[in-house]
Amino acid sequence: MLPKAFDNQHQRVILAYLRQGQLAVTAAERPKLLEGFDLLHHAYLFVGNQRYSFRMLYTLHVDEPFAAAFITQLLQMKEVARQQEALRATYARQIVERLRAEGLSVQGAGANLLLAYCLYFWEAFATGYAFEVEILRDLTQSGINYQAHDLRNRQSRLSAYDLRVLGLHGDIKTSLYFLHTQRGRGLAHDFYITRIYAGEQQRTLVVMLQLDAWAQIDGDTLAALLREVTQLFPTPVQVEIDGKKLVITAYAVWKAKVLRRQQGIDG
Amino acid sequence: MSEKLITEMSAEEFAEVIETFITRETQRVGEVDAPLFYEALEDIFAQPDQQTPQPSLMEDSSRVMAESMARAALSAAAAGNETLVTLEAQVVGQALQLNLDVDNSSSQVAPYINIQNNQIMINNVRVVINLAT
Repeated sequence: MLPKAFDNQHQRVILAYLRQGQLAVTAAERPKLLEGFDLLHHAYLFVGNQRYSFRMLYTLHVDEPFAAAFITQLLQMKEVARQQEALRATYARQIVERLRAEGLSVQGAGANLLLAYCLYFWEAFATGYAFEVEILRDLTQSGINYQAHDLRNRQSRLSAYDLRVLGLHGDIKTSLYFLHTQRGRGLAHDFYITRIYAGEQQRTLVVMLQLDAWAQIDGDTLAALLREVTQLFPTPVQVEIDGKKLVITAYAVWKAKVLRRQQGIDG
Repeated sequence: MSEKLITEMSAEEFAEVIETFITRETQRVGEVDAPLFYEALEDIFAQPDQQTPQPSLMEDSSRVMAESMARAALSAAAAGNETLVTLEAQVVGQALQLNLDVDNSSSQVAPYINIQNNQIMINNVRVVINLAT
């Protein structure tokens, strides 16, 4: 049973995304894609005579059986960046098998959407934590003093922010989803560590900071347009969006400034 | 873009789509194309007074969103001194499973949530659930 607001256009965009990734989805279609997956939280399937929301089925058949085990394995990896892809694939296929074994992947029209829904959110979950582990390890290796939430603890994973550096609250992001949901409200945290790619320059790690947060680690910036940021790296760039100022800098530059600041404070 | 809808595809046909998705998604690590990133970033500030109601309050990163599904829907809206909390629950077997959408992204509506046995703390509000037997 699908929510009334979930229409054929949602289905088409989701299918295009599943088949070809986000490059198949135009800028105009992207909100529809995110909205479509959000709407599916409230879709239902009947199992026996009980009605289960997709959200609940995800909890029962994806999160509970797989999340903790995945994170445990992730934390045991020596090289997360290199090894996590195979692990994610293994778990994704186990989820398909689980839904199939439970008879959930063959239950009429909604079953295909349940499968898509579960895998979409699982991938977001798995990719996000893999990236977070990678960053936290890198911060440790770089000698950055930080406090992070405990990934092994489910309650802790739900903390309002991922880490604290120099008293500032930050999040580690791999997805555009947070930008979508934050729309119109500005950014909640002091800084965000994320990554983008631009042409040949793959895996550009960037840190976005509120102006006050940037002031704490002190540094010059170059005023620029948003689309010019990566061209100007490693120079930290201050951009103005709708009158609000934000600093975007290369991750390595941010780390170096934080480290110097911390050594100054601690030493 | 395919003319066929997902709901019109057979399980076997859709399984191929899913396999394509898994293979592709697990061969990349989630980078966001810079133009998409910038565009979305501009979007944040574009409509400060035109927030469209979100289908759910599960937000922040999709990672947190997926995680929050484990707790499955809390809507908390602060208005003056009042806080409206809506809980969605479902009986699963012998248990009452609560759906909590945890909004970790907004300091205005993000509640501190702690769940201990039959008690849920939302900021300084403690909800104790006692099931009638």
